[in-house]
Amino acid sequence: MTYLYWYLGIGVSVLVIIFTVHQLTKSKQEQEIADLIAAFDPNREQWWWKPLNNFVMPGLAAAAVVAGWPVALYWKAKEMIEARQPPRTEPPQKKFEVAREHLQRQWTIAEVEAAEVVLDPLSAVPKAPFGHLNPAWEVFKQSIAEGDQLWGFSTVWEAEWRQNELREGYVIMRGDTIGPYFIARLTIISE
Amino acid sequence: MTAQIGEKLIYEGRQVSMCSEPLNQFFALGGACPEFEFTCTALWRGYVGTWEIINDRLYLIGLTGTLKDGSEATLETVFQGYPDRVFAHWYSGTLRIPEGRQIEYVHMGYGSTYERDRFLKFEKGILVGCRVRENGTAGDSNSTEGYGVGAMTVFSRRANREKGDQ
Repeated sequence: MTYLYWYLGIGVSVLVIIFTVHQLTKSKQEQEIADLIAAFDPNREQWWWKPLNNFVMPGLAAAAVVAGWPVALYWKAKEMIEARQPPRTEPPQKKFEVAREHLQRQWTIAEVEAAEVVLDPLSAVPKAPFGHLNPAWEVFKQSIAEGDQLWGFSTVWEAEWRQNELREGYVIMRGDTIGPYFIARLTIISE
Repeated sequence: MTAQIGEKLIYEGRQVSMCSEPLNQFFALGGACPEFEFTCTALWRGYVGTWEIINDRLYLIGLTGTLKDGSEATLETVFQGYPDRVFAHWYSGTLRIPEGRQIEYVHMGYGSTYERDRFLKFEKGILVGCRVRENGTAGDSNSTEGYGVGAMTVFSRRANREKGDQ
């Protein structure tokens, strides 16, 4: 029985220490975010929300710390050590490139411009190649030099947030080198 | 990241909010992208577009927002010479329209779950498919009907300027 009293006594001490450390180290911003998240909780209008959020949950958390303080101590120590370590840097975003296997067939500028004219019965688009994207196409066209070839390409690209995109467009081939590209269509595959 | 204010869509005579941003693709494809002022945590993109489907074609019919220089953004800010209507021919993908009551609120992006999701599939701005996914039933009869954002932090332009000066 004495061991149990000792264990629970240490648990209460740990609870007091953790609570004090938390109060001293928590940032104002963390509290504001927590308040904002609480404000969004759709249950906040229910009669039971306040007593549950303000008394029952903290009470259960305190009881859990007293009963399982070695685990609570371990997690708090881990959290404090991790907070002191430099933040992990995300790997740089891969840059989209057109590869040889993405090439489909060769086009002339005239063929592309004839195929990519956009029409609309309500005249809500310029009657020009690539419609509202025509200025971007005109800029790309200036990169095409004498002797260059224009190829169509199509590939699935994993963009940010692991979102797969079908990217289709045109790319300049200079001899064996793949040059600048123009993305004409970008279709998000995953919902 | 706060839940985001959706783009507006006039669909079958009703105005609904959608959890997709078709103008993003226009900017990603090299379309002119003005510098929008960020004034609210629920609107990181800085603008709200109003869209309409007419004869299975997707049109952008309005744009509201504030530019960095303080002026109001309109449709012509992005599409000069097209003040009333722009055919979204650049858009290929699926628009998501949440319907019914809210099942779960997620304080990030468009993460909240609603009873149904209507998916409208477009190819080059033309509607090619529509399907509805049932997500379940909201247990709480008081929960929100239709997509919406509960709260946000709004910054004054002065506060934004001060942030920019730092």
